[in-house]
Amino acid sequence: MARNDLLSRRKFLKLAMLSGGTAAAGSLLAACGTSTPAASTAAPAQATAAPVASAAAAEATAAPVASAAATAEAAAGGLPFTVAADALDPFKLATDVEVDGVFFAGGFGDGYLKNTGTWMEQIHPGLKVKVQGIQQVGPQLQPRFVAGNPPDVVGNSGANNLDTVGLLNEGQLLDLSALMDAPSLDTPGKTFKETLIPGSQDDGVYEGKQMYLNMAYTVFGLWYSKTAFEKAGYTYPKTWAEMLTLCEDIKKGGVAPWTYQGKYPYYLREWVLPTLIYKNGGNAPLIKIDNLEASAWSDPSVVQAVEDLYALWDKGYILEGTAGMTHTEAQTAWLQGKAFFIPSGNWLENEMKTTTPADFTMVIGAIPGYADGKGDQNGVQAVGGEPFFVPSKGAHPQHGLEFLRVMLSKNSAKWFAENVSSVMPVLNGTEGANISAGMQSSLDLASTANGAIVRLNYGTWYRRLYDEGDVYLGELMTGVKKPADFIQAMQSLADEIAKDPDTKKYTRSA
Amino acid sequence: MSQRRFCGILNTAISLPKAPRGGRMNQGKRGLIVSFLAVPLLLYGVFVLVPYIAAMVFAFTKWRGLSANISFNGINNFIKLSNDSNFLNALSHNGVALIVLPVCIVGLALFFAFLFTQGIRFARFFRITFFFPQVMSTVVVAVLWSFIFHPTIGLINGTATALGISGLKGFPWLGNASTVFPAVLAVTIWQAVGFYMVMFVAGMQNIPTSYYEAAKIDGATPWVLFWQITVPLLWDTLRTAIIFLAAGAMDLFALVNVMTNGSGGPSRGADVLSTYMYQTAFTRSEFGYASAMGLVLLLIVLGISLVSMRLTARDSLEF
Amino acid sequence: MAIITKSQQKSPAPAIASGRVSPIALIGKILLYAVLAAWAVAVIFPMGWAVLSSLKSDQEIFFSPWSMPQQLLFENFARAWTKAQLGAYVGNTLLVMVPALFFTLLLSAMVAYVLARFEFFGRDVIFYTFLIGMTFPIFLGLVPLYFVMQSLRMLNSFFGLILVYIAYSLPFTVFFLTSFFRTLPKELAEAATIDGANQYQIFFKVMLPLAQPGLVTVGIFNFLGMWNQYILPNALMNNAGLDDGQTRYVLSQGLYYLQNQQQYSNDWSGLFAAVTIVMIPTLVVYIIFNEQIQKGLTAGAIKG
Repeated sequence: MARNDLLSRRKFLKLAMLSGGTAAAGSLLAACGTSTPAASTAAPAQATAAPVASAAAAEATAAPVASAAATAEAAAGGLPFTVAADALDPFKLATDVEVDGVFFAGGFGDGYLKNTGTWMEQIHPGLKVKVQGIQQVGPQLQPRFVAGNPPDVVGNSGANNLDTVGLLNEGQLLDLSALMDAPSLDTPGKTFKETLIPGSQDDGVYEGKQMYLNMAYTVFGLWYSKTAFEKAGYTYPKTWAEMLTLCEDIKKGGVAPWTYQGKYPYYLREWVLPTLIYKNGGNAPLIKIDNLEASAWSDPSVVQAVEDLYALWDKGYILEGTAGMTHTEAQTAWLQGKAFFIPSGNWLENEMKTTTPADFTMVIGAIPGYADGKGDQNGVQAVGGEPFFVPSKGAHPQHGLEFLRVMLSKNSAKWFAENVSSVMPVLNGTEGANISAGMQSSLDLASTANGAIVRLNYGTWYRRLYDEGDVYLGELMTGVKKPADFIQAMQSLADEIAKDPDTKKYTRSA
Repeated sequence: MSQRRFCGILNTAISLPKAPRGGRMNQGKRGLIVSFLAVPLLLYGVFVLVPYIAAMVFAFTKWRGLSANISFNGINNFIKLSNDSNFLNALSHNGVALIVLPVCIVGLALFFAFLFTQGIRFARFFRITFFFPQVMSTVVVAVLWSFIFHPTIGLINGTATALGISGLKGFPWLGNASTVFPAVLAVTIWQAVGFYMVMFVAGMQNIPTSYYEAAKIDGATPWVLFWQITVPLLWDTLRTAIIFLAAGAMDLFALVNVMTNGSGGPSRGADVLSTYMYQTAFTRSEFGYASAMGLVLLLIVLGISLVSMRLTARDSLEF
Repeated sequence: MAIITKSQQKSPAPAIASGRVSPIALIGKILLYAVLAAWAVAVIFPMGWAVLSSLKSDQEIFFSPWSMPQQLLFENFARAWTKAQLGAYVGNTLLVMVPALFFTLLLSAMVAYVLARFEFFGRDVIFYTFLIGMTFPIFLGLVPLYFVMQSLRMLNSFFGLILVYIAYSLPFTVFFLTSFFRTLPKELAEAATIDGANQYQIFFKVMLPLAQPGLVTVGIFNFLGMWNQYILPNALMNNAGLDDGQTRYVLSQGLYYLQNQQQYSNDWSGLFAAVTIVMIPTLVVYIIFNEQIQKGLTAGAIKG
């Protein structure tokens, strides 16, 4: 195995040298010849330098220029859009390699990935891009990471995915700065970074460096049937107090006001509770929670938010049996009209399309806030999801970067919106695409927020707090734990993690 | 393999015979032993033992299973384990299964097998039918049963409501900490009874009919026939089943994992060692710590096998 | 007797189904049949329901899960078949399982025979080593196993997977067969020795045929185990090249894939169709095979 790797590296280096770009070869040498952690941190630095240096190389030697010209022609023939010459090949890719991409293929399928692969082959004639859609990223890729032969680019999602932050802590992820600063594929004059929706990639920034990229743009909120809502003549509640009043009305009508994805309490813990905290106390209490500060959970705004969430259970506003349902089961019960509201991200519409009654008209509303709250009452959790990264020890990390550049291009986002009815975190990515009413309502929600984005990191940074937090929240929403018990349990676990010397800590200030 | 779902160890012969049989058979036995053992042991050593020994070494490391970066951690994992309430919680569920599964499954299987060998009507139909759940994959079983346990549209609550029991309306069997594990156990029993029934039927058919005939001439009732003839003569097979199920109770990974969607259930109400271990190793990337749990599990299972062997070690009747 | 099987023919006069019928015995009998019928329903009903659901629409499955389908949607089957390449999965599964089963049985019988019949240095060690192999959870050995396979160049190879299946089936099968060989009469082997047979002939000509019922039984168990095996192929067949059109998924992986798909696209009907496609042939094979087990067991009734 070691011999095999060495062989392929040598071969690859030789090819890189032949293609003429010494700077590119240098960066490749650093990127794929590394086995020690120290050397691997050097790789990103090289990679960052590559675009600049290789531009110089392109001028100095004839070969790259010739190949770039050839690429431009081919691209004009095959691609459904044009690419400016200076945006064609920022990473100076060797073309006679096979790019190894392994991705989770879930609700979005793998069509958009294959499409990206095809475009990448058209942009770089000679290149072969292998796109593999799989179900179990963890069990299938973990051994490859340990063995030091990971793929060139990975889409890490789904059940049994890999611990992204764990990989990061082990030095397995390539710093994506070079990609962020590279020219955009199809938005002339902009860098790749400038074409992404602001705030959508913040959670992938560690110690100032972009370490992974989110492929999907998700807006979280509270879904309901517009038809049922109008028929009953309700007004959408602005504050949580109004919500509770409305719930009482709905309950009197014989329908359960709320349901949620009972077997997955994180829908509430990650996507409802933080918004309540934010609208009540602003950003500060959330930052304290993420930073594992002492008594962060007993902040008055947090206590209030937990109690307000608990009120849904306490007052009997949650559909009976919710705790025993999976996400699809709860969502189906909601579609059946057994419950009025359900919290979810904007994938809901696509996920439930085969079971949605024709006249249902699902739309999303903001999680209600507080009349006297400190946070922006238009605030929303509109973030990126479905992380993609480039393994630092892959055979062709530069090709991995290019894959992400193509995948998150404007045209790819448009393809995604049209074919998968979902949104990529690319500015104007849905331009000209036919967007469903539900999806449009979620995008409207995000634009109303106007940058007031609710952020939460503790679950991503500390997997234990995520897992146990789910257990505790499940208990809170079934009355097993009272709000005070929940707060105490979260705090003591946070304290424990803060003290654990084996856990790498992260902090944020904004 | 998947027999581990509900069992792990089968063995009537866990206690090896004290002495070889057949004194005159020794000519050429050395060659036979070597040639018969070489290939299987090679396969077993390379594909099973080497990985397992490696995993046991990991039990003493901080390895996260995400890179080749391994540092030793002494016995710290084991110290941490002794204070881990989730570990003890999971272990206690295995303990419950250890009692419930052998009693229920062996009891039912024995009952059915006895009936089927006593010339009951439609025995063949029942015998074939009861084995059906065995041939279904765990994914299928889990999907079926999650519909049966479903709070609102589920079969159980639907039947209860139809019978006028309104207390169960919307009751979340898999969403309540005190019912989720019994639900898992019920499915395990549902699935495994047929397997043991077939095993017992096979054993019972080897019991000479003359024994029953003689007893019946003496006026023995079916009850007496069962306890005086069937059980003693089936002892080897019963032991097999009990030891098998005891080890199965220490596993339970597949069903718990699928029925609780990987979480171990509300309040970890159905978490067992294997699911907690899986979560620790793969979602929390604490591979070293999970391996330590594996090692402890290994010791416990070995202990249980030895104990259940001792407890059932009454001389099986030769006939 | 409505149904008479061979086993019953050799059974004594039925203890329960015959004799004078007293009222108490009658009640007992009714109760007995009620219990049996209840269990049979508990087994058949969910499966029948899965088959019915495979013919419904997704809406029907959820909105009226326990009613008959309004119209039979056979296109669910077409969708399940094409989407999941079920045919290819079954082909792959058989390609791996047939040789794996054969060699598992042969090699285990050899080991079990040696362990059951001879005393030699290291026997206990071997025995307990197999015991350990059955108790340790597979997934903890998974990552190291991957490296073993990688260094042997056996990743993504059916041959490699066959060897792994055999290796992981050995402990269970060896245990089962060891006890079986112990119960075989030693006199037969001794008689064969006197007749001039060597040790190999005794094993292949005398003992192995005698062990047939045990082999059939443990063969079934292994069949089920391999049929359902998921963890091993998922880790070792990780290049299941969907892009070259040649999937290397085995059936369990395929089913899991479908279940996963269902979670995102909510395609319950497709899942149930796939479940039915897999379940029905399995049951048919089992029902046919069931007779074989019976025959094997009756033929192997060498005692008494």
